[in-house]
Amino acid sequence: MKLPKIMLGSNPFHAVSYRGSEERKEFRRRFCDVDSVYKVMARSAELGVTGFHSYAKDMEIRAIVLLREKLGDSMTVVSILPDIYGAMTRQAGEGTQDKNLAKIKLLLKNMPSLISAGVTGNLLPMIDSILKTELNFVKVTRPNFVLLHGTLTDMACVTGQKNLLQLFKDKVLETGAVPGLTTHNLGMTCGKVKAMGLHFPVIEAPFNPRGFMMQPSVERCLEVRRESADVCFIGKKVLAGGSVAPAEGLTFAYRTAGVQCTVIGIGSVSEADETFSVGKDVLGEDFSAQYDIQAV
Amino acid sequence: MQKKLRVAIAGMGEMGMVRAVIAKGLSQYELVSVIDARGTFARLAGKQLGVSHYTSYPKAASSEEFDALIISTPFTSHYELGKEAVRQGKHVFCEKPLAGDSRRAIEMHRAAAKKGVLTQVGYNWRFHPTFSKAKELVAGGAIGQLKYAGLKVYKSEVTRPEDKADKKNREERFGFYGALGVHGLDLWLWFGGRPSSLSAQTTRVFSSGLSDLISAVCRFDSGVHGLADLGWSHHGFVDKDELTLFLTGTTGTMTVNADRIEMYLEKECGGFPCGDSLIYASEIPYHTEFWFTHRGLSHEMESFADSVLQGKPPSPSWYDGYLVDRLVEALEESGRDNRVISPVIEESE
Repeated sequence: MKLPKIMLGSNPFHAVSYRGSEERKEFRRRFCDVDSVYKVMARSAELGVTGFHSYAKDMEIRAIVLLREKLGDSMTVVSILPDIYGAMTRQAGEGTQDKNLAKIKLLLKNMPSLISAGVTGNLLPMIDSILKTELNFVKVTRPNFVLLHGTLTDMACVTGQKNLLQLFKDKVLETGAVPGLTTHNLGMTCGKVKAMGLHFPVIEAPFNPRGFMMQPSVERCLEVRRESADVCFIGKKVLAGGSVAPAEGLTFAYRTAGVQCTVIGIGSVSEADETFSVGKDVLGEDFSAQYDIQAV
Repeated sequence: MQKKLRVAIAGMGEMGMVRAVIAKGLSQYELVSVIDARGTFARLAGKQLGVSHYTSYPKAASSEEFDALIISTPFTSHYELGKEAVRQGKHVFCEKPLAGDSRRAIEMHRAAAKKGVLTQVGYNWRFHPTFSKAKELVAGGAIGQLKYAGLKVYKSEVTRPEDKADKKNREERFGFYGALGVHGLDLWLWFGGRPSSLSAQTTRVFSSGLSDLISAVCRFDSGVHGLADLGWSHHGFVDKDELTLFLTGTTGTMTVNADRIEMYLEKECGGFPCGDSLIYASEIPYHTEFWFTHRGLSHEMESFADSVLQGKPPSPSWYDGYLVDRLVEALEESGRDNRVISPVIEESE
């Protein structure tokens, strides 16, 4: 599978901002339909971006499907699973918006596996069912890479849940995509995954000059990056939640940290113009480079 | 070899699980046991975390060796569980609110002090990078002598007719106060001091026992005064809580929330220039051995373990927990009786 050097992130599309509630509200107003998300994606594609991240949210998925129709196999889709509340609602049945009702329906639907989990302590049958639903939900985008959400990765690593990570990997491989992990604790994750005897060819983690979310320290994260030659790293939080200029953030990610790829959330067409123009300055001809990643 | 704090965690709901995962990730901790009255939850959590599991605290305490208990059960059980653990000489970390009742809270605090065990209450917003940085700046004199501390807290809930499950959930969790309000009130006290006089207007919308919308003006014993506006509301953002402090001193002002600090200084201080400054949370160094879910939680747990292992009093203490419980009662009393009150504050010892 081809993993592009620079990719479009999706945080602004679901109103995630580290700059304040005004921007969150603005994003929510701005990205209120598929078309508004699609416009930023399409403009990024015009600028030469071929990699697109997608969270398991309906609007993003529909925008990606539209883009697939236009770009076909020339684009790379990186899907992040699961969106916890979305997954809960999908398990409970479409149209269940109320969180508490969704919880109740989720419990009822999964009662047999829950009882089994309570007796045996084995959560895997339930997680298997959730993963099946989630992979089915995103399959219309034909994801090339599927990454496990950072919260679950970190929880699984710190509690030694090898079976959970193995199950995720197997399920993703069955779809033909490349499995990977996102993490907020890079200093721990790589070592734990290795100690479990597992290998994920792609790991996405924060890399930025402020050290924002680089745990336990900038130095340790850079060291892990250097030590892990068999992993392709995607740098996220490259602009440290908007507190670093694109040139500074991208230069740090590619040159200091030496990550192969980056993903950047973009909140508007003009921001796409500015950021990816800087990306071209920093990367030169490498802007359109792609890495060939083997699934196992 | 580094000495570890051996802990058991009581209450394996959402918060208990988060505490357990963080404890597994921090080298100061050795998670020994998990406890939950619901046998299935206890068994499941124990198996997932690779530790022993029990359905009651006495069973765990009589079977396992641990130094400290983390109480993540519903607040109505904090008093009994906290006192029992203290009686057995355990150091105790307890989620907020400490007791939801000031008489019980001060009793818990005094019992712990008498026994000589160390206690902390889970007001983790103090450990959030922006609020801890603001405290450091104010203590360093950045805005001169603090004169005003305003507080705005909006929980990310839309004011809409609630289904029974939500309403029950809210009331069982100490209403709006338990959801977020007490975190704001703790920060208010942290900056302002003890309340000496206050007047509140309160309104009940969803809850039968506690107010859902609270507006108050308070004078603190430090001489600082401030306004507070709290409630279930949509003024913030549906998916994110809104908690903002407005601080005015003799030489500057500061507006602080989880995202950023906006500051105006009349003179350069602490590396910040004279004039306006904007500091995003992402620019404030925050490193921890293991980060999970909320910024602040890991540092809070590191702080508790470090304090106990070094024999230093943790902060925020159970006395701080008492002060918040007392403030909630004072706000409710003032609002109900429509009068200015001067809450009686018990001394720590």
